[in-house]
Amino acid sequence: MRETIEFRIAERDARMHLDPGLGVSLGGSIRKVVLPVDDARVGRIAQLHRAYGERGDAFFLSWNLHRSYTEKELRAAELLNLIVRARFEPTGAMCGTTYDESSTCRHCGAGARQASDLVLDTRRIPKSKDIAQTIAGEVVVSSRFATAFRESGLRGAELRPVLHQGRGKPLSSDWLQLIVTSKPRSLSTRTVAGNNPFDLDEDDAFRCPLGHIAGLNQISELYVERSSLDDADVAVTDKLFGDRRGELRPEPRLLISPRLRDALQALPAQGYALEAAHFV
Amino acid sequence: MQRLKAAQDAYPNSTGYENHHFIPLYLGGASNGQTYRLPTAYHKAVTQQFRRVWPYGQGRRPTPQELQKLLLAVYSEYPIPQLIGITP
Repeated sequence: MRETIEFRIAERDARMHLDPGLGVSLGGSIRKVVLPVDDARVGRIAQLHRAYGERGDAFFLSWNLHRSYTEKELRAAELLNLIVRARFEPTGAMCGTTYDESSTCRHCGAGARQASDLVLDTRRIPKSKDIAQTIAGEVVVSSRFATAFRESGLRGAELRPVLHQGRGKPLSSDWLQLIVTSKPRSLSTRTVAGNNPFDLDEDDAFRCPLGHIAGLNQISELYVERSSLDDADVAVTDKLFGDRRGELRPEPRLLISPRLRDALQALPAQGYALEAAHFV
Repeated sequence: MQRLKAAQDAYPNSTGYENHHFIPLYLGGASNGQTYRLPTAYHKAVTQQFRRVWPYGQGRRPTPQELQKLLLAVYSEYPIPQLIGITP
């Protein structure tokens, strides 16, 4: 597995501290820098970020970890983290989907229960994708994904109708909502979560005291307790990532079996990436 | 005014106005949060700058402190016209 980290840095700050040839300019004011995670310059950027932080500022504006695998590594994985790449808005709640908030955690906002069919502006779903998700974490799949899921005899999820928010009453659509029904997998404490790779939220500001949320962002690959394994082809983690803020909600991670990986690759499905996940 | 003109040049076919969420929804803004009516071309330019700073659809979230820095980085370059006394 090759792991790189991408930073977006204000050009003004990058010019002061980084080699002018490092990274590429985006629109003149932002510099994109991608480095292997073990590169010495990553340590330098982390130091700068801490120093900026001490005066209430930040050196980098955003970060992202990219993990790429060989085909052999992905084929060897017992369990995979399905990452939905295609995201869109407006969210279900903005389109008329109703949620029962009565069991929502008062600390972290997790636990709202969807109480109606998912209603979306389906024109906003990226058309070329087979799996996509709203910024609130509602996952939808194409009819060809649904057919492959059913014909392959895959287990662990229901596919329910997605309604299109029309001018009058909601209309049927070709999209389906992926509702995971299998038992959640227990996320191991080996999974690293935090605010960013250099700030693991030592104060637990983004961890729910009742244990619903592992952290604001996923930093490492996922580690899952083997004892929580069953025969489902798709499952979610028991702990969530993120927070309740505006239209955003805490989200679990999706875990899939090699059988579902094979079905996705055979389609081939569009709109996702895979990472290895590990049993402990 | 320069930025408004540059946006119009970059998106010559974008006419009319659109509502812009001061905190974009994908960064945790609320759908009923503060909005400003911007010329469509300028709205596109501001949106593009947000996505340069914090790419869309990566499933990560900024801390509130990081969000403040993002907003400052974008709006110092693409100010909201109404907040600096310009009627767009």
